[in-house]
This record gives sequence, C-alpha cells and structure tokens, in this order.
Amino acid sequence: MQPDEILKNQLNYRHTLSQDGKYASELSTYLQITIANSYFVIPISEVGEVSEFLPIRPYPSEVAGHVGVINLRGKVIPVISMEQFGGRKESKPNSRIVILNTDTTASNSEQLALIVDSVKKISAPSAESGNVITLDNNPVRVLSGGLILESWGIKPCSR
Amino acid sequence: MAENDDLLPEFLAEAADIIEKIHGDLEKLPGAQDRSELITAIFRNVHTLKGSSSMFNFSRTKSIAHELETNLGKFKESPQTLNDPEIQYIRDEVQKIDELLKAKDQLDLVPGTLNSPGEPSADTRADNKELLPAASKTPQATVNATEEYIRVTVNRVNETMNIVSEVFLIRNQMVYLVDRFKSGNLDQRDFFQTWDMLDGALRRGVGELERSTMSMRMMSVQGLFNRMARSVQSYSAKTNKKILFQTVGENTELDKKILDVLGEPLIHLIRNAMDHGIESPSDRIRSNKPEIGTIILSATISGNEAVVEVKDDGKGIDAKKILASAQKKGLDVSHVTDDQSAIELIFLPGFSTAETVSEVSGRGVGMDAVKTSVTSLSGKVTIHTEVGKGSTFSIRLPVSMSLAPVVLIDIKGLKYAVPTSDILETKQVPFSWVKRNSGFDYVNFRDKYVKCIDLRSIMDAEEKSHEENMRSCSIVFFRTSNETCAARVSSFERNTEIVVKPLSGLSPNIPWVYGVAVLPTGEAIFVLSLAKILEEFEVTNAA
Repeated sequence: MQPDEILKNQLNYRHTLSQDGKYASELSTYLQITIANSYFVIPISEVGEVSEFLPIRPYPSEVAGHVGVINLRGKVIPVISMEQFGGRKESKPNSRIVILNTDTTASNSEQLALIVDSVKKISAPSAESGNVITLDNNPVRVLSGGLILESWGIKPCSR
Repeated sequence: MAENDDLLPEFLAEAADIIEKIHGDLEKLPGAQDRSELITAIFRNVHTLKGSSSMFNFSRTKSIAHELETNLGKFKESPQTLNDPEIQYIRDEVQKIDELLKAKDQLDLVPGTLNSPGEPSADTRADNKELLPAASKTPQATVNATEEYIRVTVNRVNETMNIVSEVFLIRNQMVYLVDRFKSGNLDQRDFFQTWDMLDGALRRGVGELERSTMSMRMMSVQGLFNRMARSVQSYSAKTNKKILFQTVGENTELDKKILDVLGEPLIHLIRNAMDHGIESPSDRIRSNKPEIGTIILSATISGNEAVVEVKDDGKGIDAKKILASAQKKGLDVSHVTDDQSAIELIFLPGFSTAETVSEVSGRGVGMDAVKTSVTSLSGKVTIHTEVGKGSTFSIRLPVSMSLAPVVLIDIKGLKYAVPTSDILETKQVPFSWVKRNSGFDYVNFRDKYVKCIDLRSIMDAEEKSHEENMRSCSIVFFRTSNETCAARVSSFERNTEIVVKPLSGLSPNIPWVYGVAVLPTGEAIFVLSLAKILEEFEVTNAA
C-alpha cells in the first residue's frame, strides 16, 4: 500500500469543499511538518519558532503523551509525543523542534514542543484544525497544539 | 518644577506613611479615652498632606485635604460630635487622597498602566493629567519618578555592615597569607590549609551578605492587608451587607517588587467578593447561611512560592451563567469543555462589561487585568468555586527571585536537585549498613535504622553509562514531618545554587517534583521532594 493510501485510511477526514465542489479559494500560510513519512500542516499563527534539535530531558516518571522537557534559551518547555500521529519514540539526529503557542484555556497560554523530521513553509486553502486539505494532490491533515493535546487527553493545569 | 520633580518620589513615599498613620489613629479613635490627642495627630498629618500637595500643585488632593482639615478643626473643638459616621467620613476622605496619590504614582512610574484594576475614576485621572503635564511629558521627570524606596530598619543595615567588615577582614588575611607565602615564610602545606579555612569563611560571609541584602527587599504583607481591611470597612458602611473580614498570615514576607504590584489585583478580588460574592443579609438567611458573610484573606509560603488567597462564603460562580454571558458577549468559547474552563472565561478580556459594573467593584475593568498583573510577576491566579458555598481565588507568586541552595545528585546517569533545606546529611555508607526486611530497605543512621528508598528503582529512566562506587552506597538522609528517612542515589554531584521554576501547565503533574531548573551547562533538571517520593513509594508498596 502506498504511504498516501495509508494516510487516507488512517485519517477520518473531511474535505473543505465549497458548495460548487471546488476547494475554497482563500489561502493560509502553514508550516508543513514531516513525521515518519507522514505529512501534516499547522497554521503558521500557532508556530512560535522552529529550532535545531535540542537535548530532551525525560521526566523522572513515564507519562503517556509526554516525552520530557527542553531548555529553549532558559525557558523550559514540555515536549509532547507525536506517536498518535505516527511519530517514533526516539528522534533522529537531524530532527527539528517545533514550538507551538497554545491558548487552550482562557487563563493559560502555554508553549509546547514537537519533534519532527523536517519542516517547510507553504500556502494552502484555509481550513480548521482536524480537517484535511489537498496538497500536491495528497490529503494532508491540519493539526494544532490543542488537537495534539486532545489526542492524548492532556488538559492544561495551573501551577 | 524640576526641583519639585526630584522631591516627588520622596513625597509619595512619605505620604503613604502618613496615610498609614492616620488610619492607625482612626482605628484607635472609637475606644480611646483622650480623643482630642488622636484628633490633633490626625489633624497635623492631614495638614502635612495638604502642604505637600500644594507644593506639587496637586489641586484636587489639596482641596480634599483642606476641607477635611476644616472639619477636623471642628471635631477638635468638640470631640463628642465625632461618632462612627464622622470617623467613616474621615476614613473615606483619606482613602480618596490615598487613591489620588497612588494614581499619581502610577501615572509617572508606569505610563502605560492607566487601565489597571482598581484604578481611580476617570475624573481622578483627568485631574492628574491636567495637573502634571510636565511630569508626564519630559523624559527627565520620568527618570526621576522611577526611583523606588524600601524602608529598612537601621538594625538590618548595621547587620549588613558587620558582614561587609568581616568579609573585608578575610580578604586582608588572604592578602597577608599570599605575601607570606611569596616571601618564603610559609610552607605550601600551611599555606593551603589556611587558604582553605579563609576560603570557607569567605563563602559563608558572601552567603550571609546575600541573605541579608535579600532580606532588605522582603516586606511583610501586613500593610497591604490593612489596606484591604479598610476597603471592606468602608464598603460595609455604604451598603446593607454585613461582612466579617479575617486575615491569616499577616507576617508573611514578600519581595517588595511583588508586594507593590499585588495591591491592585488583590483589591479588585476583594471588591468582587464583596459586591458579587457575598449575598445580602436577607438572601443569606433564606439560604440558611449566617447573616454575616465572611471574607478571608490569607498569605502562606509553600516551597518557593507565596500563596495569597481571597476566600468568601458567598454565592459562588455559576459556570453555566458565565458561559451564557460569554456567548452573549460574542467571546470565543470553543475551548470550553467543562465547568472549570467555563468559569475561567471571566479572565478573558472583554468579559467584564457595563452589565456587571457597580459602584464598588466595577470600573469596566475585568478579571483579565487581575490575571495580567499576576502574570507580570511570574505568578498564576486560579479559581475554586462552588455554587451556594463561595469562591476562593488563589494567587501563587514566587517569594523572591533569590537562588535556592541544592545538592545535585545522580540517579542512573541523570542529574536531579534536592533542596539543601530538605537534607539532614549526605553520606557514603558501606553496603553492610543497608539491611532489607519485610519488603523495605533500612539503613543505619546515628546508631538507628531508618527507612531507605532506592531512587534508582523508582526513576523510570534507563540506566546510562555511569560508574558507581561498588564498595559503598550514596545515601541522602532527610526528615519527613515525623521521621528521619534515607534515599539511595547513584552518586552525589555537588552543592550549587539554582533558580527553581514551576513546571509548565502542560507538563504532567508529578507530585514529588517541586519544579525545574536550568544548570549553567544548559541542562534542564528536575527538583525533587524526597518526602513526597517516600509518601508515594509507601502508598504504592501498601497497594
């Protein structure tokens, strides 16, 4: 089975079609990320920055969905696992780190980090997170920090 | 005007003291035998405020003080005419002067914070703007106004001076020692022995100097709490609500910088509690509650954090109502999944509108401003509420930005920190000192066996290449609330000082992790609570 077909099967997607059957014409800027041969896009407005790979400090106790923390210029940011989206546990030496700004509750705005294989800035039809857009004739799912946290059932708490 | 600008910060600091004294005297008035003496003291202080306000062209402050002075003159003549309503009148007028001067203070110090919570009414601001065009326009004036003051007792300064002189003496001894060594009057062994001793004394001296200097920045929350008490008194006098105001932990000390900013969010929370939290006496009786509502303001220290709470026994916050109100106002509620996230909508900018504005709590400024103030101090604000029972707003703040001394330990090749204050002793002990019985390890500590947990088996991390001492084990002895215990680690690294930060709200909640710190090498490490690990380990074992 081709990777594209696997992706199609994996995703329960909804195309953002307008009434006349054409794709919505409005374009948005996304960060396209690659994780183990799967492609996803994240709205650029959610992306804080993309960093070279940084050493990850694992938590003293293993918790599902959590990889550990990184030190980004003195700020300690939690790394969230992408295993739900086909990511591996271990990272490749040339992996990148994507920092997302999440505004998941009214009282908290936190940052999270993801380990990805590669990144690219692209323009594509606007769509809500969780939806699927077509990119180079391939279905690609729109992700967001909130969606990734939700996939693990992680709820932000105040500390 | 330029000369006056130089004096302005000094005047504002002095005025705050005078206002505090007036309030103190007002407290004593009802029960005082010789009232005329107290009235004279208040009169004199109000007169001073009037004179200084006039010097700085604060016309509104001056006119309030003038009118108050005239009335105080009358009370001085006939002290018997001074009853509760009159005392309240004086209190209110002094409060007005206080707010005007504080607004003046903010206008100069932080030009962008005109919309902060609890700010004086629009006409007050207009008054200040109009009166001080030069101060808000010239950069020179702004620079002068940013001078801040800390009140420090002479004893604390003398204490610091003593430490400085000790450090200076040690430095001279070091110079003398090096000279003797260079001239060949001292052999190498003696030189290093004395050097080590002096180095140890110098370290202690510098440590004491740091503590002493930091302590100068620390101030008790008492003054702040008194201000809040006055606010409640003045509110009760104006409305039919009966409120009992209690304070807990008035001696808790916080960094002055934190204390200065904390006042505004706190007064906003208390006004909210009085206005929207506590019900009217008739409503309270209908709900089978005591007629008098209670607001408790407390401050406690928990680890490296101070927790300031405003707790009321009022009607609580109804999540459904908040959600409906937010939807009506067109706010984004897409992230609301449960009651807690609905209640937290009150922190959104634009949630507080004219509908919720009242004379007391509402100035069109919402809880978002409270959140912004607290966040600016690296703190967090949370709500716990129960409909019909009341609400608790908790503000968590760092006590100070000082460093925490820790011992770095190694567990399976990964570094962790344990606060030195938690540790009794660190020791390499022979294997034979560790005994196993009934599923627990015990280790000999001062001729007594104490429970020992093995952190190497508790931590999930995979064993990294690490050379452990094969002949003895590294044990950290610590005390829980009621016993001495021990924890086995792979090895000890060193003592150091770190800034402990709380974990991100997205990190998992591991109860035995105090927080996280970054070492000079850039490595992020977790700070552990050994007592809580023991608690967790015992629970797991029992299960």
